[in-house]
Order: sequence, then C-alpha cells, then structure tokens
Amino acid sequence: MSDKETLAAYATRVDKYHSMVKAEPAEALVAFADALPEGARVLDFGCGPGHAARYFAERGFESHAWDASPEMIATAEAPGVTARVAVFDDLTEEAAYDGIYASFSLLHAPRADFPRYMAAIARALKPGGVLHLGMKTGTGEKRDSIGRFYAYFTREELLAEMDTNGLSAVWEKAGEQAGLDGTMAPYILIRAVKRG
Amino acid sequence: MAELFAYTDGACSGNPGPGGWGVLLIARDGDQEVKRRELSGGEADTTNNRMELMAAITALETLERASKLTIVTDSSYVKDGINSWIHGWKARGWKTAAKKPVKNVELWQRLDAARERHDVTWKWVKGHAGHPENERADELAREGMAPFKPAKP
Repeated sequence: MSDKETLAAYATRVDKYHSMVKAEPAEALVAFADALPEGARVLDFGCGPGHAARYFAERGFESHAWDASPEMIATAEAPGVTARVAVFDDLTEEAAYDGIYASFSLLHAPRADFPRYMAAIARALKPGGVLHLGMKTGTGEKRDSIGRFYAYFTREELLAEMDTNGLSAVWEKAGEQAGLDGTMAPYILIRAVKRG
Repeated sequence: MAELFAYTDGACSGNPGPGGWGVLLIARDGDQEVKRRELSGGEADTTNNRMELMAAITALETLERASKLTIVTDSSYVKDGINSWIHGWKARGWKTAAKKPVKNVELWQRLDAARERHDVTWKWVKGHAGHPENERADELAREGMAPFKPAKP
C-alpha cells in the first residue's frame, strides 16, 4: 500500500520536485519514446508532476499518468494526458500497454512488494512492449531526511526479477545523482523488452 | 557469439580538480548491437589520468564473468602504461626507470589485477575525432563529473 509519509513529503514539494525533474537530462526518456511504435499506449507509472506523460502526449502517444499523490496528479493533468490518482496495485490490465515508464517510483514500495509489481507490469505490457525502470541502487530499506520511504535493490536483483517475468534488458545506465533531499546516491536506469 | 567492447574516457576540470569517468559497454553480434550498458562516476579532487584509469578499471571490474573484450581508450597514458611501462614497473617493484615511485600506483595495481580475470585487447583511438562511442564515453565522463563541479554563481 502507499506510504503516507512519502506522499506527505511530495505533497509539500511539488514545485521543487517539478523543477528538479524538468532540469534532468531527458535522454533516457527520449530513447524510451523512440523505442515505441507510432500512437503507442503508454503508462507513466508513478508519474509525479507528469513531465514524461506530457512528453508522451506531445509525441502523439496515448498517454496515461498515475500517481498516488493527489497533489502530483493535479500538476500532471494536461491536454492529451489521462491522469488519475492510483496506487501500484491498481495495475491489473493484461497486454494493455506498448510502454510503461516507471522512473524512480517503484523505489517507494516495500522490497517485498516489488516482485508483485514487476509481475503486474510484465502482464500489463503487450508482447514486445517496453519498460523503462529507474531505481536507486543499494540494499535494504530506509527513510530519507525528508521522510520518504525507499527500497533499494542491486542491479543483479532488478535484472533477475525482470528476467523471471519475461523482460529482457536491452540498455542500462548507472551513475550517481543528487536527489530531492540533496544527497548523492547511485542510481540505475534499465530499458527492457517483453519477450514473446 | 556476441563480441564485447568497452569504450572508456576520463574528464577533469582543472587537473587537479573535479573529475569524472565514463564507460560504454556494447555487446555486438556482427554489426548488430545486442546490448548497451553505460556507467559514470566522479570525484571532487582528481586528475585526468586518474579518471582515465578509473574508467578502464570500472569497465573490467563491473563484468561479473571472465570475458574476452576490447577496451577502446583515447588515453595514451593508459595505452602506454598497460602496453609497455607496466612490465618495467613490476620488474622493479613498482618503481620507474629513474627509481622513483610510480604515480597513481594503487590504480595501476588495481587495473593490473582487474585485467587478470579477463582476456583484454587494448585499442587506442584519437579523442574528439568523431568516433561516436568515444564521444559518448566522454559525455558520460562529463556527466559523472558534473555533481562535483562547484555551482555556477
């Protein structure tokens, strides 16, 4: 289930988070979109302020944006974007999306829930569908200095969970970046394709 | 059977100063690119040569399995070091021909240990000469350096 303290941390920092993600290099976002077919149905899963969802709409995709934070969804609402307040467990569709973009969102779910969400994502993707996953890497779970809950995974754990669910990684990028709480932390971006 | 290539580069602002390293790993089956993996990182106070070494070290250390690969670098320091100087350094107990301690010795030793596990071919390219993969490694190195550069006023 969604974490109240994490949602509260975002509710009071929508603008700050928005300007931070807007300033990010959007390379990986563009590459993800380039891998999708024309008119693709795309889900921005944990969309935050919805900059990716707006970009998908501009690219002519059918853009869906979900987030558990009503404040983030209020900012994410835009022409061409179907935005709704939803939690990860609301994803129950089958072979419904050409692309799912989960950028630094699933790290707010407990580690024990991650396999369930990865299975739901794989089920919701059409064969050949594309997943973009952004996570912070490490071990264990913790709350950061502004109260957000984090679950950490190693690269190997993420790749194994994807593989188990029929997702093959085609691109990866690992580095370090400063987050909303100001500290440097290692991250990984993975693009994977659903087999079949 | 896919062939593995590692394009490595270092960047430094000031020398010494804030620096970064970048690695682009590509698995190719013939001309077909099968998989791409990108890595970057940085330090607050370092040199260009150290970052060039860190890029090559990271490329080798990050591969879980013993692999046959080609490392492509634009650093003549790394190329000359690994192809020729290192033999003399080791023979003299990590001293230069002038009996001075080898600069960056801990990184050279780490690189030497990391390559033992693999079957490495070293290839040198001229930097900033339009090799797309080398340019990409340079971008990654700059990205790795960015968080350590002082904020612009």
